[in-house]
Amino acid sequence: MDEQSAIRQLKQGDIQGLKTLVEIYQVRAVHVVFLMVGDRGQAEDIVQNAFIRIFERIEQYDIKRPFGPWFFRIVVNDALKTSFKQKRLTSLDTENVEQNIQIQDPLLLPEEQFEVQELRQQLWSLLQQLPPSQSAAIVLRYYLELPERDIAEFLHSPVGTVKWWLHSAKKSLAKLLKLELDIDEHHLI
Amino acid sequence: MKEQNLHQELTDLAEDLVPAETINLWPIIEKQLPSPKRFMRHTLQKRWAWIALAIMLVGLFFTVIPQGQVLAQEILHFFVRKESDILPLQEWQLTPRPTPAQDITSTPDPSSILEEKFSVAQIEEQSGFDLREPAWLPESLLFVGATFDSTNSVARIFYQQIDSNGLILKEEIYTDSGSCNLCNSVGENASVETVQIGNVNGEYVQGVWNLTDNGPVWENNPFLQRLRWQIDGVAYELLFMGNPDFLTKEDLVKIANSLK
Repeated sequence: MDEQSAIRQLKQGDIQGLKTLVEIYQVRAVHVVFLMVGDRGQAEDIVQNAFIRIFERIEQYDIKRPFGPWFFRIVVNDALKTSFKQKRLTSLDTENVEQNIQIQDPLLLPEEQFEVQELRQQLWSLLQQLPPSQSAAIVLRYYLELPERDIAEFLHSPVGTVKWWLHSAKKSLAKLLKLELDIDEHHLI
Repeated sequence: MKEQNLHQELTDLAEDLVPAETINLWPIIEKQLPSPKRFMRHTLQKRWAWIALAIMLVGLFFTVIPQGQVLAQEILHFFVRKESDILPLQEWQLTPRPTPAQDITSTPDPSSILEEKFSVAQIEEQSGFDLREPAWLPESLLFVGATFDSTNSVARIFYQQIDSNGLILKEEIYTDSGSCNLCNSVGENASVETVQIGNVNGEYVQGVWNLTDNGPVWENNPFLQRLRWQIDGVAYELLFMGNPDFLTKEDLVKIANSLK
């Protein structure tokens, strides 16, 4: 069943429509929220609740508009709220945000595997150390590959602010990873 | 690392830490969903709540906001609502009333009902248009007579009921609201109801302008019921003066529906 048929079915109160939407969006949604909040349990809770809210409010959804952005907006908003609460409550030293990242790629040599593992660990640490809005901007721009204009709408911020967040996040990333990144100073605003 | 590689790195990072094949949210979501019955009830409750809210907002619009009050007045076609229930002393209250002998074809005063002895045919001749008469009337109401108010071009047909002032059917060729005599005003707080008469809407109101020394005062009096409507360019009014238990709003609508 395609997305449009699933939505039509859901609008008629049939939960099979919701099941199809869960199957289509659950992985990307959990990944997005996980990258933002850094906790799998919380990420799954947020996405589950978003799907339940969609089931309850589906009559408000205009079928002529794309479902993905509507859904991700709900998910990202909830993730941001959780992120802000978390950042207020916990101190964010590197130890707290370390994850056991294991690379098991048979095509890579052991030292290459270690390098990749190290890189991902640092990327993960950076994402968790960035302020919630900046990490959200990075995830939306580079994981979901949304344009800056859409990110600005998602985060209720001006496009200029989003550009600044992305720029400063990339700078931090470049500094931390000591790697080359395309940082275009003229790209701002 | 180039910018475009960030996408791949983030995808791999998320996949490493939360492998896609381990994500299965449906069983938990399904358990948390409201039952179909509860969901339908919830949806219906929400729908009714929205309808109630909409009705309240429309009501507030028509009663509180000045533009709404103007619009509400425009919607009332047959009664014109005054801005108050109290009107200033009317000019005609200051002049002596004509005696019936001086104004034989007019019947401005309901107390003169029983004096009207013209037939409907005679009034049709005077007025110059065909009058419609009710095919149904409560048994207690009997035809008394008709008259034609040549000043205002309103024909009146009277029906008497013992212990009441009776029923008057008024008919007038409608040209515009300015010259329409069967469109006169009601008080600010008059409760005007819309009723269905055949294919058209009519308006029903209970009350009367009570004449006082300081001017007319609107009184929501159930002993004076009016029903107004217009069909084929003719304005009609049924006016019943008497105990509302003898003749109800539904009876008036039934009489209106039976006009032939």
